[in-house]
Amino acid sequence: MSWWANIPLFSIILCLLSAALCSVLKAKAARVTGYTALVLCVSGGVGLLSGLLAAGGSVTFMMGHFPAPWGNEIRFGRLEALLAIIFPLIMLMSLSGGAHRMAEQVTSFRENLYYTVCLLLNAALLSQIYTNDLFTGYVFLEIMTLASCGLIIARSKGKTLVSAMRYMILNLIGSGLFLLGVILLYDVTGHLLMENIRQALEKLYAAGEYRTGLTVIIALITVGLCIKSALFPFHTWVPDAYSNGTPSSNAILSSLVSKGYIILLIKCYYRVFGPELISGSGINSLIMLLALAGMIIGSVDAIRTKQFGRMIAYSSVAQIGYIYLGIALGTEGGYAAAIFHLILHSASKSLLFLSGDALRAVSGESREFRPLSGAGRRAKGAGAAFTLGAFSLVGLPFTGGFVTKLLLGREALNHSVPVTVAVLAVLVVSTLLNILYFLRTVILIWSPGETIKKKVRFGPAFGVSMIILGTGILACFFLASPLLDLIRAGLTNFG
Amino acid sequence: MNNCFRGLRAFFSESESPLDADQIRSLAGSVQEAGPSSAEMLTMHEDNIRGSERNLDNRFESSKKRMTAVYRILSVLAAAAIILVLLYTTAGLPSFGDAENPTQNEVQQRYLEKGLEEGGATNLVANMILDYRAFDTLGESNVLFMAVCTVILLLRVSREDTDRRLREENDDRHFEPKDDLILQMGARVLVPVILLFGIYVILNGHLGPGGGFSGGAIMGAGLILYLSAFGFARTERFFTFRTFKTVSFTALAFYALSKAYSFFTGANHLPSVITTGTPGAILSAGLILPLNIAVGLVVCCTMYAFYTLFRKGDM
Repeated sequence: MSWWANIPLFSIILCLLSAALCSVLKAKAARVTGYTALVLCVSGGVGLLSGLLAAGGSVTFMMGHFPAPWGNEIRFGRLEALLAIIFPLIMLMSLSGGAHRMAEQVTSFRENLYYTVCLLLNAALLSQIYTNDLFTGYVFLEIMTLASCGLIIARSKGKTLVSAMRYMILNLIGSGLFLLGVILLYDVTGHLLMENIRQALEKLYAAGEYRTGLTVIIALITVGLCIKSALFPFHTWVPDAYSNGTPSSNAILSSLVSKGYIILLIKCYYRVFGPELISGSGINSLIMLLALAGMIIGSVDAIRTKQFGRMIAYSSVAQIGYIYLGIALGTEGGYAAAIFHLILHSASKSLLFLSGDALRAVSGESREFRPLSGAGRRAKGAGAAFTLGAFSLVGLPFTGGFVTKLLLGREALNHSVPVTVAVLAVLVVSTLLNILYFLRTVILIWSPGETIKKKVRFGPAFGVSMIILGTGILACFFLASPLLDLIRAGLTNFG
Repeated sequence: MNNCFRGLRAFFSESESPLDADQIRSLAGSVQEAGPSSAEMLTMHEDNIRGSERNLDNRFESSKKRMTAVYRILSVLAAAAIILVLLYTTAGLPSFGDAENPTQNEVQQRYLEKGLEEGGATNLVANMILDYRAFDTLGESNVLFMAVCTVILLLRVSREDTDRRLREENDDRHFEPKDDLILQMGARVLVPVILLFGIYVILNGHLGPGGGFSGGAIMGAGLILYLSAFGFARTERFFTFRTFKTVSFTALAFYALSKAYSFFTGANHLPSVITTGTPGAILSAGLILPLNIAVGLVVCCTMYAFYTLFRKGDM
C-alpha cells in the first residue's frame, strides 16, 4: 500500500491527540497546538489528494488487524480527499478570522478547551468523511453534537445558554432518529458496513420484503439528519444558535457542522441505499418540496428579521435548501451540484459571519441594521469581504453562487415538466429575495454614515482569513470546471 | 380568520425570541447579586417581562392561547402517529433469537468462533469492542471526554472570581449536610469495597463480564460517595483539577497512540509486537487490559468531574 494511504489515520489520530493535549495546556500553547494540528491536517489532505489523483479509484483502509465487516474500516477516493482539505481549511480560517475576539469573549482560563472542542470536532468531521461503517458514523455524529453545543456556550452570556439548550434538544432528537434508523437497518440486514448493507438491501428489495420497513428506515435517517442540518421546517433552532456565539463558533457551526451531516446523508443515499431504493421510496419528492419551501421561507425570514446576525443565519436556511435541492434531483449532476454548493456555502458563510462581526465591531456592537450604515467605509477590508460573500450567495457572475444556480437549473431541465417549472420558478424567486436582503445590507454598509466611531484593530490573522476565503469564492467561479470534474470523478468512486 | 392569523403570528414570534438579550443579562445579573433568594427575584423579573408583553399584545392574547392549545393537540397527534408507525415497523421485524435472523451471519460467527484465538480475551464482548471494532470505542471514549469538556466550559468558575467561588461554596452547604455521622460511617465501610470492586471489574474486563466503562462508573460512584461524606477538604488531598487533567490526558493519549500503532501495523500488514498471550491469564489479550484501564480512568474521572462541577463549579 502507498504511503499516502496512511494519511487519513494519522490526521484523525493527530486531532484526537492534540485535542487531549490542549486540555492540559495554557491558552497560548493550546492555540499554537490547535493551529499546528489544523495546518498539518490541511497539508495531509493535499498529500492524500495528490496521491489519489495519480492512482485513481478509491482505497479501503483497515482500522486494525481484521478486515471489515469484522473490524472497522475507512474508505476514501478523490471526493473524500477534497473535502478533507476543505473542512480543516475552513475551520482554520474561521478560528484565525475570529481570533481577535477570543480574549474578549472566551475567558482565558477556558480558551484552551475551545481548541480541544474544535480539534475533536475536526476529528469527527474527518471520520465522518472517511468512514465506511454506519455505526462509526453515529459515534462521531455524537461528538459533533456535543462539540457544537460546546462551541456555542464557550461565550458565557445568558442568551447563549438558551440557544445552546434549544439546539441540543433538537439535535439529540435528530441523533435519536438516526440511531433508530441504523438499528432497524441492522435488524433487517445484519450488517453495519455500508457495502454489505447495500448488498443485503438489494436482495430484500428484489424479493419485495420489508417494503414499509425500508421506507420507515429511509425516512428516519433522512429526517434525523435533516433536523441536524437545519432543512426547512426543522430550522427553528438556527437563528439563535448561529448568531449568539463567538464569530468563530458561528462560522464553524454554520459552515462545517451542518455540512458534516449532509455528507453523511449523501453517503447513506449513495453507498447504503443506492439510487434505485431511494427513488423507489419517493423520499426525493419530499426533500425537494421541503428544499424549495426552505429556499423561499428562509429568504423571507431573512428579510423580515430586524437583527443583522439573524439575517445571516436565516440565509443559511435558504442555502441549505439549495444543497438539498441538488440531492433531491437524484441524478449524479444533482449530487455534484449539491457538493459544489456545499463547498461554496461553507466558504461564503464563514466569510459572511466573520466580516459581519467585524462590521458590527466598528459600529458600536449593535445588533440592529441602522448603526451599520457606513460600516464598510470604517472597515474597508471587512466591507469588501462581506460584499463578496453576499454577491456569492445572491449568485452574481464571477462568484461561485452563479455556477450553483446554473448547475441546478440545467439539472432540473432533465426532469419532468412540472418539476422543471417549479425548480426554475423557485430559483428565480429565491434569487430575487436574496438580492432584496443582501443588496440592501451591502448598500447600507457602503452608504455614507458616521465616520468617527471606535477604532478597532483586527490584526493580520483576520486579513489572511478574509483573503483566503474570498479567493476560495472567486476560485469556485474561475476554476469551476476543474473543481466540478474532480467532484464528478470522486462521485464515481463514492457509491 | 384574520384574528386567527394574527394569533398564529404572535405565537410564532414569541417562540422565536422569548426574551431580549438585555433582559436576560439583567436576569443573570439579578440572580448573581441576589444569592439565596435569587429564585424569588427571577420569578418577579419574569413576571415583569410577561406583564409588559401582555400589555403589548393584549389584543391577540386569547387567539394566541387558542393557537397554543391547537399546537399542543397537533404535537400530541404527531407523536402518536410516529409511535404507531414505529410500532408497526418493529412488529414486522425478524423475531429476536430466531436462527434464520439476518443478524446470525458470518460476522457474529467469527466473533464467537475465532474471537478467543484472534483477540485473546475470554470475554468475547471485550474482543469485539476493544479489538475488532476498537476505532468505534476510541470515538466513544472521546465522546465522554467531549462531554466533560463541555461541562467544564459551562460550569467551571474562574479562580480569580473569588466572590462567585465563595458563593458557590456557601450554596453547596445548603443541600449537603456537613459531617453527617450516618453517611460517614456508611462511607467508611462502603467506599473501600466499592473502589476495590471497581478495580476488580476493570482488571477482570478481559476475563469475564465487566470492563473499563462499567468499572470506571463504579469507581466514580465510590469517589462521589467519599466526597459527599467527608467534603472537599478530604478529597482535594488526592484529587484536584490538576489530577483530573493529568489522568484523563494520559489515558486518552495512551489509548490514541497505542491504537494508532495497532491500526497502522494492521493496515500495512506489518508485524506487531503485541501478542494475545495465554487466554484466561491476567496478563493476556494484548492491548485489551491496558485499554480497559485507560477507559476506566477516563470514565471514573468524568463521573467525578460532572458531580463536582455541578456542585461547586470546580474540583
